[in-house]
Amino acid sequence: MTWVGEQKAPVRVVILGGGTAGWLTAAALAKLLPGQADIELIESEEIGIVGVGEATLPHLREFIRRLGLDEMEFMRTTRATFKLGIDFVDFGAIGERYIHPFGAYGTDIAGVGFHHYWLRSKAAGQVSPICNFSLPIVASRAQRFAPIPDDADFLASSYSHAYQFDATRMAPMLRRFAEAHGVRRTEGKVVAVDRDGESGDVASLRTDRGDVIAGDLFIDCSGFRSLLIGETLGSPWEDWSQWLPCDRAAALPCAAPDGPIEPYTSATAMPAGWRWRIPLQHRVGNGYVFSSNHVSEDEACATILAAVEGEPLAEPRVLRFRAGRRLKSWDRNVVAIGLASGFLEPLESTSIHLVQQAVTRLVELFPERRIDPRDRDTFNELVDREYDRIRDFLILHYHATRRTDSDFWNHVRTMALPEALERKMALWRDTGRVELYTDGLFLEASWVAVYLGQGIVPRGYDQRAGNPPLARVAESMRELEAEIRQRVAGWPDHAAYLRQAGAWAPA
Amino acid sequence: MGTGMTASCTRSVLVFGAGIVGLAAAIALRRALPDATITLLGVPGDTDGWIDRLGACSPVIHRFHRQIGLDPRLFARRTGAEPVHLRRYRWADGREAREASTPVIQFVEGVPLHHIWLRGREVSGGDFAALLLAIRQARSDDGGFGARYDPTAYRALLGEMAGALGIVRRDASEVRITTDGPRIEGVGTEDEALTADLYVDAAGPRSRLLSALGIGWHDWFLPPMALTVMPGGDGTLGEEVLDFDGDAVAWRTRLWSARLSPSTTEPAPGCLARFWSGNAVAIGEAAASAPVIDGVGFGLALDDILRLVGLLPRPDGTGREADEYDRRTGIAYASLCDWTAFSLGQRDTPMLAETLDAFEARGRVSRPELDPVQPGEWLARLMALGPAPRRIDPTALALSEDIVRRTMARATAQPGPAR
Repeated sequence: MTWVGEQKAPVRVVILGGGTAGWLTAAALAKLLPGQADIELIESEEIGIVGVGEATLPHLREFIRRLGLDEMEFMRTTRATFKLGIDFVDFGAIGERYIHPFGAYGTDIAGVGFHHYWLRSKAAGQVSPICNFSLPIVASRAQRFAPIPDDADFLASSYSHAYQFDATRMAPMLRRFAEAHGVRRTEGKVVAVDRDGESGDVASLRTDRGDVIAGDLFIDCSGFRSLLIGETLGSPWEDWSQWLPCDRAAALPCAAPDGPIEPYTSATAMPAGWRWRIPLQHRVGNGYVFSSNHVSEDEACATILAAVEGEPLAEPRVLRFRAGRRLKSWDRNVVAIGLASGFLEPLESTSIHLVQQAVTRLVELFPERRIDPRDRDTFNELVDREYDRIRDFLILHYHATRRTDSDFWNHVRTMALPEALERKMALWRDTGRVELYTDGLFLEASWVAVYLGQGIVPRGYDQRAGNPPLARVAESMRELEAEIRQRVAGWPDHAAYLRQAGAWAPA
Repeated sequence: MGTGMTASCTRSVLVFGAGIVGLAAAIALRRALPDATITLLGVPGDTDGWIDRLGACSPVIHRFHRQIGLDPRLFARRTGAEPVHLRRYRWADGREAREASTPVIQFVEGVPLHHIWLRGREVSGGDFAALLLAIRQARSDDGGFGARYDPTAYRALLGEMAGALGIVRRDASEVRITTDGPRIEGVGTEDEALTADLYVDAAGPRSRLLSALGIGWHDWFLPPMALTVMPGGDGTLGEEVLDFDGDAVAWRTRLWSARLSPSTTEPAPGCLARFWSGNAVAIGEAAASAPVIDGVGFGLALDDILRLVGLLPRPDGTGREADEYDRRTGIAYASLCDWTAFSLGQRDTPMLAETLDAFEARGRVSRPELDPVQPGEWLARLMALGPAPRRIDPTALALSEDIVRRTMARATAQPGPAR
């Protein structure tokens, strides 16, 4: 039997860098393109990985499933916990907090978004806080967790979950998987890059051990150094620090305290940035993301040391970065994935998602040995849009504040915004509506959560929400609130569920 | 009241034009604004458009009926409505093609179904339409090509519904539109002067209200076509046939037959430069007109109504809803231009050229975000009318032969378009 489809020689893929981005890329290409891609990964044991991407988004679950990894084994290996959202503390104003949940508030009524009815009831002075109408928020506050059942009704399917995990344990696991799927690993540091004299494309990489590795397509996962896309090709970088001024993080793991494990990540606003707290099975990840224009590294390290609740497990480690992205993440025959491609601070846990998204796009647009420039243009367009939209969403967290307590917050509160964000916020303020788009990570429910969570109450709401009698709206809201409370009361404690489900790694 | 919360509501809407789109808009607005006065004004020429003559709508009609509370069984009984799952194309030179459609692009093991078909087609007899028809979605209300019905009976049904809902009906043999700067001040008839908070122009090609406000028209540079519709048709349930003969198209359903032929007297296809200006919005053919050979023309008019209802502004608001409405509508009608051009065998609109190029290169459906024509609908038509992709997706080449064979077997198990 003959099968159509030219059986051409596989594309030789060379991945530079073996951190989370490198091994995730290797694993996905090996699993999804067997016979089509011949994959070699170069890494050096002497170069550490950043590995701070500990909090993730629900999309990772689908990715894990597509690779065919076992969820519980993944959780045990990476000492993972479940995550239902992010708790933002002191962002809108000191003393205020809200959870951005993985799920929308309430449910649409007669085709009109729940938040419009809530705004109407609020204007009439009779409604509970909107967080009471979110199953994942109520569960988070109660430290409980349950997976979505197969026969889920609207409430049980009104949320989604992600993981909080130890990123330093992710890369070795993906390495085992990738190597089992035929990926070759070469130990060494790249000391020279050979380019084709005619085309200018990268032809091969030379290591300090004398290896020469030739390829058709090179994936730059070398992190902030961006050896291929930056140092070699000089692909320009677009700087976003005027909107996202944080440029350092002081990371510090500490021992897990006794007691419940939060099924959520915390982000607490600080005088010159914000601080993350990510509870894992065996420890808690902490870090202070700050602007070096507003606080010194020493001061930031002292601040994070003082802030952690458990016994510190290391000295604070300072990471330096700039917010922004490459103008072209795919330039010539080099595709940058991960930190080499761009950086957005982990305020909404997007780092691993951006890697995963880029890998998915690369699989969709996987080239032949001779690259079609249209594939490259499409890839760049998709990556740019993803970055730009996340950027605007992150800026919102800073700009939507009433804080006047520090230079940092005064700056972000009063800075000029990107035009697209300005327009989105104006539409919300005037009408309670979210600019519609379908591509991108954060859609209507997320924008509503942050707008309301940070105290931007719109002047108007959808007038259709004014149709049912107020008393009837109030009654359905009370019923929904009670139903959510009751459901959550029946859920297991998060830590207990981790053990019960087989996600817990024996000490 | 909370701080600064606006309280004003739309008290009155004047729907200009009482054809199918005007009726549908008036009913949807009545549902959205139960306390407002909704006036429907019949004006000369308001039933001359294609939507009132061609009984065809894309699957959005089912969602629209759910939203306005029109029972699908009543719709079927009164208008003879039937679903269409399969389109047969025939050309004068003897070529033939079949098209079936699903709203979303189908995947098997993470691989686009059409790439599996491209890989396996030489060892399996069926066409891509047969493979799609084997999927339940292609025959559901949300899939396929929507409904075909008797448009006169449909207009009568909507008219009864409008009457029962207390929509005020007026008819004028002549109208005078007065403006006040960037806003409509009122519409005068021979009997009275009508005013409203919001004016909705549904009176067919080239909105009179928005033209009065100075809004221009974009010509799409597509050939103008004349439409002739004859009652009575035949064929197999769930199918329709399109015969291409030169620049003319004969479209036959079980309920009616239509003929499109080049014309020098019909208005040129195109759309308004803006769809919402001040207190007036143009929908359906008042906003854009194109020689459609499927139900997408009316489908987009219904999308306009749903979008309008979802973005209803308050009379004392800042008009930001109108900007958002314009943004989304602009995308919708740019898509109609491409879709129409492609369906009629034209290839030279700029965005369409890009779409065709991407599809021909490697079978990718590359369309702008918020395109109202769903990716699966584009895929189905691209697979039926070409160009054929030059490259099979590497994920499909990486699949095991066993999965390819089993997937293709679904199509051969479903040989014909039988119901």
